[in-house]
Amino acid sequence: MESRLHLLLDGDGRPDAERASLVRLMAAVAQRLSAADAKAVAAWFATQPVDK
Amino acid sequence: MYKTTLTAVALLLGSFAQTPAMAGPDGKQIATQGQGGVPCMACHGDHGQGSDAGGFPSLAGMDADYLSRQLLAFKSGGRQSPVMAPQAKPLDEAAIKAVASYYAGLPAVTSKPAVTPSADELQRGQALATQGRWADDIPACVQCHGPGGRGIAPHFPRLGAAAA
Repeated sequence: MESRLHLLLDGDGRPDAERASLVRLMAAVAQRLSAADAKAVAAWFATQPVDK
Repeated sequence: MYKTTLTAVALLLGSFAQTPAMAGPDGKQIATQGQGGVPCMACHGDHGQGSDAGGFPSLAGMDADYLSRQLLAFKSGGRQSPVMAPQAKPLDEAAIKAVASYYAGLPAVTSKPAVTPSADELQRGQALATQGRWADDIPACVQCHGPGGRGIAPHFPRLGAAAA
């Protein structure tokens, strides 16, 4: 998870310390979500309209 | 004679200006016809809406920089995907930027979910997305990804209208 997050964020212009902090935060959040949580949150976002 | 030569040079320069190679890669063409791989639309849909049933994400309206970074990561192998790597490898940087810009310019749409979520599930998802669950140290998704998951380009990708 952390390596994938690094790939998503590396080179995005953030300072290294900020990026490392975000990676740790997201990896920790992902671990705390159950499969049912993840499914529910994905289902809700899928219903959200997005203006361009 | 001098006038004729000038006219010929002007015509020649004009023809160079209209050479397709000068225009750069055509993102729509790559998306719909492919370039060394399967056309993007074969999996991500005619309008980049994605496919919930197939697990292919919606690309329409996503931030161009974000899409470019993902394609470059698939190409380099930094982000590993046996499906996307062969599609990204034949694309050079200009082609990647072109196809990313094409999808960024499409109106955001999403596929219909394969299974309609229950009201309880949507309520649980909404609570997590908008309020988080601080008892478990889970922050609200929208704190970074914006209201409704609109995304904060280019740093936080859009989550709203994404295939679940």
